[in-house]
Amino acid sequence: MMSAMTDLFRPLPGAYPEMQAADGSIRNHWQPMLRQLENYGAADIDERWKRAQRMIRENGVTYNVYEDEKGSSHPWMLDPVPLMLDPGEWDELSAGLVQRTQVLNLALADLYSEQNLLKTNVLPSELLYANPGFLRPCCQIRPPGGHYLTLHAVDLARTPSGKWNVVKDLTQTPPGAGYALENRLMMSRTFPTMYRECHVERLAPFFITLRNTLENLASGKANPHIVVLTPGSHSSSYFEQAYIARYLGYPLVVGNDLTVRGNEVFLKTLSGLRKVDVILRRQADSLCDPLELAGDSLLGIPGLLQAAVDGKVAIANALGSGLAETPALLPFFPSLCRNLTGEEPRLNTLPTLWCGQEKECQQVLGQLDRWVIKRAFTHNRETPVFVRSLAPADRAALAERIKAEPDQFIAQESVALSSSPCWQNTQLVPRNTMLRVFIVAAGTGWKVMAGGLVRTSPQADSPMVSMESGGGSKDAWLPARGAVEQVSLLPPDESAIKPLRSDANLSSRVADNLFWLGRYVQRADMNARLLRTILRRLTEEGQPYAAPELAELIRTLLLITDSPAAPHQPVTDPIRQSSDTRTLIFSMIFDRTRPGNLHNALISACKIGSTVRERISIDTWRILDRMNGELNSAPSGGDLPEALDMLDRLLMPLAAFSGLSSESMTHGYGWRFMDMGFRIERAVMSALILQEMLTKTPQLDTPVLDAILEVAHSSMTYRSRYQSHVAPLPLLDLLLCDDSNPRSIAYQLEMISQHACALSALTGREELPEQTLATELVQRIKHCDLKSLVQTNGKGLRVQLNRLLAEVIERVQEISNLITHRYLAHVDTTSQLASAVGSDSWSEAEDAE
Amino acid sequence: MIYHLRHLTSFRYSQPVTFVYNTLHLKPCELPWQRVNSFRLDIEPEPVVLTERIDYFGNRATFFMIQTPHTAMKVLTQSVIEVLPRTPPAQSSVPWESARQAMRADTTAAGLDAYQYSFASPFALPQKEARAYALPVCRQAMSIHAVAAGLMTRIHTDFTFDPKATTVATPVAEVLQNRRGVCQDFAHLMISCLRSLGLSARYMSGYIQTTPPPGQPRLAGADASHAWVAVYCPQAGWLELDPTNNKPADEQYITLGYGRDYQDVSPAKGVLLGGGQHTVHAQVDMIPESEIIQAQQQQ
Repeated sequence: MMSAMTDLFRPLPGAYPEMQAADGSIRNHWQPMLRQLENYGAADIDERWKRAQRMIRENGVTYNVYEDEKGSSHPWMLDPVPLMLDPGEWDELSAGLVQRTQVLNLALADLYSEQNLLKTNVLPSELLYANPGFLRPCCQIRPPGGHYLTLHAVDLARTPSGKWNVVKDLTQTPPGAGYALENRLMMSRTFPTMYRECHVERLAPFFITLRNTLENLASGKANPHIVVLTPGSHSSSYFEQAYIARYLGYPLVVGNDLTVRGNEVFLKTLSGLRKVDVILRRQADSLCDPLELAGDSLLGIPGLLQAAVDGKVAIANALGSGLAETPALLPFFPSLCRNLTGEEPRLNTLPTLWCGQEKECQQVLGQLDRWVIKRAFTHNRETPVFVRSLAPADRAALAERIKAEPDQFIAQESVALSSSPCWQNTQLVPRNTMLRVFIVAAGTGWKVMAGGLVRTSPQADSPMVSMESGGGSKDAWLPARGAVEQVSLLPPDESAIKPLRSDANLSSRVADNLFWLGRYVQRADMNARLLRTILRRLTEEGQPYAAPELAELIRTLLLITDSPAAPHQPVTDPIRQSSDTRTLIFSMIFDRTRPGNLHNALISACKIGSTVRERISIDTWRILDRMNGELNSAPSGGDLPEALDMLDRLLMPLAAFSGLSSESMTHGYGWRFMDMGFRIERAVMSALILQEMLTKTPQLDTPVLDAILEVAHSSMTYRSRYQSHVAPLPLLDLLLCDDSNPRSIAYQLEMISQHACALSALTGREELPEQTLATELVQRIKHCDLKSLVQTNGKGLRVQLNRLLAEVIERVQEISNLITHRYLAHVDTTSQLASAVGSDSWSEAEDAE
Repeated sequence: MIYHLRHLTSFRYSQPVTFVYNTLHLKPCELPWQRVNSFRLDIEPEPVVLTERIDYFGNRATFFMIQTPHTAMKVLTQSVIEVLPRTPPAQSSVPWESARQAMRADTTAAGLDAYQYSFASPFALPQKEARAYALPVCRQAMSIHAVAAGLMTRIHTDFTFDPKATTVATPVAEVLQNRRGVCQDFAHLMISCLRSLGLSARYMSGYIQTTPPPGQPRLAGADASHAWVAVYCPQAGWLELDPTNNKPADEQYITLGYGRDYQDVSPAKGVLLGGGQHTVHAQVDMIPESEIIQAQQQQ
């Protein structure tokens, strides 16, 4: 039926073709989508796709790869051609998935209590006893409603016969639902017509069910407090965790944000401790409670297990659920199913053998190249071994490893994955395909997400599909049979929501991060302005290196970056050593290892930004991303004009950041902390610059004063006010005392004072010491005697000005410390405690009673 | 034999501790040959939460939490325990080579419970080195009794008791190399060896009574927490052996609990916030009632 686009397409040989039937015709459930794709045309698809890719990058959709040395994160690769799911086969598939979740849930309930499955020989007991995923302390937990699994994800592969087969279960912290949602959002935005015309089932009902289920876990408590627990921004799917948290409207927290008091769990917020009722966790079992679950790790929340045992907090999925995803359980699924439900399994499991069984092990070793070898007990990062692609020597070595520790391996049949069309260079190309589907607990049963996350192989001949190995992803579209249910996560009756103005429930960690985000962005801004002022002088025509103020500017730069004036660096007279100067400037811009410099400040800002991503707007995040982009756009070994150009471009997003934050962030406590950080940094930096450039030389020449104005971004204001050459006194008025100039020190102090006052509402106390300090400092600056400040002493130094600025720096830092201590104090360090056996009663005689 | 047991563990910190979460295994268990006539637990500062539960292995575990800032913590247990003579399990007819097979086939609750102790645990991994060390004492078709007793004696002979040589975290492989350690190390080594032979072995935690040298008075706090080993003989039961003293456990031993290794039953395991550096000091008095009565009569 189709034209050029599908005519040229050939599915992968030997694989089940998702799009075509045996006779080469296009399957019915693909036709409407392909028609729409055809309507767009190759050029339009490409253009839309480039836009989407840019959006993905800017939105920071990433998949972090742990082992990546650069610690970088890969942008999410999304393909514009969705995988079409056949509504005719979907019902049976969903029924099979629901059955599977039910069976695994029952298996968990049994293995963590009676262990009848072992007593009746349904499972070999080795599967439990040799299994690091079996967490004995979790036997004490009885999850509410018997729900071990609130979420379950299943990786499916379609074999050449056309049957879906289970390759893997994910039951601990099933990842991917958020990526599926993000894919859907991206597709519906990029191809709105196609999306509309295809009448695709929505994903929202799945998340609504998840939300209802989580709320019900709080055992009847109205308005339960639910949080999403993440291992942190280094986690491979941190983006997704933040995304889901934002979508569901729950705070995203790390272990340190939570604390167990009594036997209840609390979130540490700015306004104090707030009880947590339900935790949707993305943190692995073994990292949840250092007291009970981890051998020697200190990560997690001590006492969490006890709180769960006492039923004071519900955790989804229940602690210990990771047991159900043990790869070695796969071959036993059919007998588990029959034994626990009395039913035959409705969904195939890909033929899998556990080598811990003698006969099975022989079978695997007898025909090794038929199999894909995986670890039996953990989904660790060790990639599956496709025996067929191994060299003979490696094959023999593998056989030896299996013989030495047979129970540590499983063998899965190596099958050709189905082939689906992907978009590449304006045409469709075939790729191996796997589908991850999601099941969520709903009342006493389970519901399947109407869609899923599709992953494809990077090349046509690659048997691997995974984001780690650089494959791509797709949206999965299930055409609706009736009218598409219009749902959204907003409650039906919006008047039922109480207006809430305060963000006093902000976690202390987030507030702390916002504070430092403000400081680092401002540090980058000051660095960039100073560097630009320097570079302008270095690149001027005529006599570069001869500008008289250059030496002072460079000295100031070293000072604000807190760089030691190392002997080989041209501190006193940089002009003479032009190439050294160049090297120094470049390292001040680009050397990421240099603390306090531009690159370092930007990296820190982005890092912190990524940890509070759910708290800052997408636009703000884009700006942070752009800053980094600009910095990386200039070659670090390039020439000075290039660097100057880059700084000019970089200052735009830096300026946009403060504009956006004051205009589009609600001015709650979170914003106040960020702006406070911003102001504190600017006040200190400005004072340092003035101190360095104004107090140490008797004669203040115009070029020096001009440079100061340039750094302070106040040249225009000065010229419009005074229309004359620059003089020290009016300059000082503008940069120090004028609280109408947003770059002046007085203005920063005024803002700090306001913030300190507003924050004091959190404590219920009045006149906190930081407020007093700030108010006094504002008065001191506003009423200072400028004439005496510009006067020099016998040695040509401006002692009074120096003293005043030193006082500003000291006081502001004191305010910063007071604020940090009062609201943001980091948790004490955790350590482990153990009593020794047998030896220490002889060791010391102290403490004898 | 009736004992009056007093076990004081004192923790001192260089900086204030704001929170303590702790799990104790300090309450002696009830056994056919062991009765707990009285028991009390005192913790200072006072915990906000104190709950007792039976853990996975059947031991009595106490969870507690302190929220009062402090620089010293004391955990004191005082109990009166009666230990009766016990009959060691009969010689099992199953030789050591077929023990694993026999245990695997037994899927009764007791059989499963015993079988799980034949698997590796973090502190007692059945390594190649352990097997190599254990094999010389095993002869073909030897009884599990004989293998375990031979191994106990071998460890007792080869190893030097040296409290300075190891810490709670010293791995078995290192102990095996240096041939020095304390009761806990010898127990872990022996467990690793037994498991490497396919046998089930438990880590036993408790106390042992010490006898002062003849003519000398008992020193306060001179007794100690102790660790020894139990090995499973299919169809017969658990045989308790002490490689530190080269003898089976008897009336001189008070049992607190057992697990796969130290980690499952450590007397006090905790996580604390703050504290800086800390020192732990334990003091155990395990005095036979007869001595107390004697002392009272002399007064």
